[in-house]
Amino acid sequence: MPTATRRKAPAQYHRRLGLLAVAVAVIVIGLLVQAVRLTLVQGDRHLQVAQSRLQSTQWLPTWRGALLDRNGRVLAQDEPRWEAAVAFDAVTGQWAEDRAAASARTEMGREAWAMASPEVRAAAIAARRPAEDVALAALWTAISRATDQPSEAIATQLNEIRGRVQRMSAVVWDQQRRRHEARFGEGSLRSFKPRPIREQVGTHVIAEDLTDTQAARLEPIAAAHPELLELRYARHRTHPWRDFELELDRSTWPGPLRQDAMQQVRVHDPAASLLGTVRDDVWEEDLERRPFELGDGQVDRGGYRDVDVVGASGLERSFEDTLRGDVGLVVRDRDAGETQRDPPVGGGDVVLTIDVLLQARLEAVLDPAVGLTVSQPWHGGDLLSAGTELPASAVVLEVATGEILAMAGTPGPGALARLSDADAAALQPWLIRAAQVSAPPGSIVKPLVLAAAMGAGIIEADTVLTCRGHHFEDHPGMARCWVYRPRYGMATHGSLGAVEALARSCNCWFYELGERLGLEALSEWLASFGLGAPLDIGLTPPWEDALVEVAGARPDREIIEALRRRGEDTFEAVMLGIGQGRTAWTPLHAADAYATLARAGKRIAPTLVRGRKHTSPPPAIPIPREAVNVAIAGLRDVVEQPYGTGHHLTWPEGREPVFRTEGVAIAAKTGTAQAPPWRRDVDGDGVIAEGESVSGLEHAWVVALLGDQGDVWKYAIAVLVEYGGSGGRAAGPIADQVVRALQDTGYLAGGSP
Amino acid sequence: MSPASLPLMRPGGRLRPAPRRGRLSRANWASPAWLCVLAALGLTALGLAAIGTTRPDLVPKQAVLLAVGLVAAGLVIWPSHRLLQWVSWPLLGIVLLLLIFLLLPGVPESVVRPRNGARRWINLIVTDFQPSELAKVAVVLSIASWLRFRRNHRRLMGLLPPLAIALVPMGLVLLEPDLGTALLFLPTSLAMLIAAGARLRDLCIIGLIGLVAAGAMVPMLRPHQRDRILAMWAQVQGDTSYANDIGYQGERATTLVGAGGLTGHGKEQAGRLIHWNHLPEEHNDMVFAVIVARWGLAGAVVTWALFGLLCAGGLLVAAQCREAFGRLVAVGATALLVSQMVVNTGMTIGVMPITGMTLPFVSAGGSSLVAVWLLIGLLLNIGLRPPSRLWRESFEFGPEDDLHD
Repeated sequence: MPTATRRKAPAQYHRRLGLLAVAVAVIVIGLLVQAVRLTLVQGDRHLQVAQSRLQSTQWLPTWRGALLDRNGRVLAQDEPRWEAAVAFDAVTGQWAEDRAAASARTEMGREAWAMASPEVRAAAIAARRPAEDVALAALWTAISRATDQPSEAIATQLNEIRGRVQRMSAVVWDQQRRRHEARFGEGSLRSFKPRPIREQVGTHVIAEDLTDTQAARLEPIAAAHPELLELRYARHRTHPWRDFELELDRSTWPGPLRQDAMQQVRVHDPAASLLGTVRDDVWEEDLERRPFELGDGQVDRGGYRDVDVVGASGLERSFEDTLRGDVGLVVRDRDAGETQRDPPVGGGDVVLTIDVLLQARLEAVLDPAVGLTVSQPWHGGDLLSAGTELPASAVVLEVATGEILAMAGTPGPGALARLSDADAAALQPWLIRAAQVSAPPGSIVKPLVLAAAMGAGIIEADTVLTCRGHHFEDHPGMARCWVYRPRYGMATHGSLGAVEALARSCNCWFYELGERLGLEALSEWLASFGLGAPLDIGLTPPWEDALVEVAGARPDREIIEALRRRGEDTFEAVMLGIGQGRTAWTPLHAADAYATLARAGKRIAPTLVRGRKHTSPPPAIPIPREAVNVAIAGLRDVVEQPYGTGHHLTWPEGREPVFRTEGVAIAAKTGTAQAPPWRRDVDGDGVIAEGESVSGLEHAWVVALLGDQGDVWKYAIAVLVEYGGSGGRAAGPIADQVVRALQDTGYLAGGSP
Repeated sequence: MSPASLPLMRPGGRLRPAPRRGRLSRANWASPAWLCVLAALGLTALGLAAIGTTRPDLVPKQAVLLAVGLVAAGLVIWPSHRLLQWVSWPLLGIVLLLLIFLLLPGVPESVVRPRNGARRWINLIVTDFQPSELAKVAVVLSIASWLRFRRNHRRLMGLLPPLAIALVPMGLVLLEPDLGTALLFLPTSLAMLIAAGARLRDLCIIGLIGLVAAGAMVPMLRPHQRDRILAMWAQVQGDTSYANDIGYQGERATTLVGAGGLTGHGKEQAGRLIHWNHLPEEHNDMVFAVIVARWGLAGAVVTWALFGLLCAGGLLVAAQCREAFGRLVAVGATALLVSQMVVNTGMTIGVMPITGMTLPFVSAGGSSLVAVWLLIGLLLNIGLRPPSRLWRESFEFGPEDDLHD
């Protein structure tokens, strides 16, 4: 019988109970495994996290180090100043709404409020809202009076803050919404609740740079409304030399511009492009490069947090790690109330090699409003209309140290406000032109070619070569000397030695040296002067692979091979002999190469910052002393001999020396180099059309070695006026003013500081 | 063959004779139900100690509630099963009406006071009453009443009525919403059906259908419920991105559980850790985290061991009981308590989504404590009750007993 069979085994009901017991046991074992994982395997980590919450940690802000000039003058610093900030709830009026609601709740009582319908609550709030609006309006009036701002200005600021935060929140919420949808899938937006952005829960500056008096007036208002108004003594990056005014003596200027009166020139922010800028927003790349939290509870106190200030450009960026400092820490035991304080460590100062007074002088001289960097009738060309602004740059380098005393350019970052987008794209005013804009060197290459030829033993000091007006015997139209032109009566220089050839800047002489040296050797010689490679002067952050300073150009091995295969290498060498062809230098390259020549081949890496250590100092160049002497003699004759290309300026009214300074030894070389077409948005339509381009223009160079009387060359200067025309005429007067500036600032004798 | 030994010709078992004795003397004083009482008292004591770690001010109130719970348990020891069976259907009806009442749109908030968007409580002025707590007991009694003399639950279709008894109140509780409480109805009714001899194959089919239905119902979940499931899943995978919003409670709980280590911390240190880690509901839903922070893994093991003792006691009561209704009530009450423990401790240690669920006997709270002591009272009622003079061997089925679909 089936019944009998069932009784032998445990009853089905009891088996089922056993099954349930087993199921419970399995589930509890599963829970136990998870508990073991949490307590024993991950226990230490969880304990660390739990214990960290027993303490409150507050990071104390640090301050950026200062940027100082070579004489200790502060160029950029973190400066504390009073500012007033208001809560965003006050800006939007939400504060009044909340206060009205709180007031209604208190008056009705908690129970009644809880029982009240939304309509009743809204009516109660609306009834109390006007009183709170009046209180808020009174606050704005009080702030307006305390900060000496018209109430309209406050209202405008409030509108701007509202608009700005609204735009930002729209962007952030859109991102939040997308992330939410990506995480939870389509149709999940019903559960999406945008989180307030930082600007909606924080405060907004409504008045800054307040005086102590204004701050004292605001203090009681802030004390009365601590939830609304914050008066704080915050640090800001300031440039103390901003809006610096100086006087230029126009009696020393070229005849057409000369005036007896002193000219007041306002230099907006000397060295601004070198110093660079800081930004308040931390970018993803900053957080990746140097995160604040390193994991496992470790932090890098110099790492980036969302609230940090970051160097954005120039030296502020390249010396970011030196300047930024380490935040301090206040740890408070929440339970015991004990506090430990570890103060912040401020950022280190960076001392520049720049002299801010000299820098300001250079920037003033290059200011187009002054007249030296605009197209002038005596520049030697009429392709550009008079008064056209010309980009220009200048650099002053100390020969003995390689330190850059001043480096200026126009247009600078300030010009962005007045340039059209098309012109801004063509001119790139954000560049540090002296180190980041290169041009063919033209004749300023000649002393280096001479030194290379003598160093290679191709010529002697007394070698005489003959200029017949053109280099290639059967091609009088090719590779001509600059005097072999109709306007000079197809003249030639005839037979002349090296010194005179330099002074006259005879092209044929240097065509010949270029051909004799050959393209490869000449290119190598130029490379040994640091030409065709970027000069690391301190503008590039150490974490970046490529230098921001530009390399310029020279024919490299690959190009030489290609030219050789086409049989064009000789012509290229000939052209390179006069600084044309595939070569381009920055003014910094030029000044550095001339300084190297003055040091008889000893190379010192130029720098903008004192105390920088170069891992591998560049090797010295084997230039015979005799070659240096010949080259320097030629450069001196450029200025001193009547036939020298840097001796005098000529215009219809007469002529006068290029360098009119006295008591200074000058060895200079002018250069005039073919320039690419000049392109500007002349009609301001935002496009540079075909008709707005001018060809046949030339860049104007002057490079000079300067010293007090004697053979010790103290400074190398280089001036480039892009599209300026004749080197002597366009760049010469600027170079003369640079010499005067060096005198006036005490670097050269004979000045009138 | 005496008339008493004649098989009762009704499906489901055979009547057996039982010895006649006096009411008290016939009571089964050696009942394993005392194991349940012992475990419940142990858990309550553990709960008082845990609550005292962070909220010593609540301990006296909890002690008073314990007394109330004991009185409630004492009250349900005595009613006969016949009375309980009779009460079960009206009780279920009342509970359903109360659950519907909670969801009625026009009910003033003074009567049904929403908390965090949930409509679970009826204001009784002196205290709040949570109908879903009573619903759990009503469902156990009703399913037991339904199944006691039936055998059609051996068919797939026959499973539908007892499941409906669970699913209707469960759906209403879900709408409150109270996902945690709703989740208890399924394992409880499942355990009762298993004990009642439902075919495992049918239960598997029902389970699969249930899984599919649950998947289809995911879009109907409230956003916060879905987010909590996602947060739990992320937390299990070590993703802390939810730790400051929807996963906050879970993260704090698992951190404190982990921080407890093997043996936990002294009362003062544990209190500090719990306080400054801002564990929400630390005396209530999250009391298990307090236990582990205070006594470590050892505390967790003791808690589960006591529930294991309770489970063993409940199943032994069910095993010794000869009467169908008592058997199923014992299984249902045990399953209810164990399910609630699994959901609560599971969510605390991060393997289940966070729901508003107390840990039976341990968490502070009146409705919960009285309700679980009521279940202990029911177990005592069944365990102490002398065997009927006539009893059937219920829920014993062989292949020849199967009905054909």
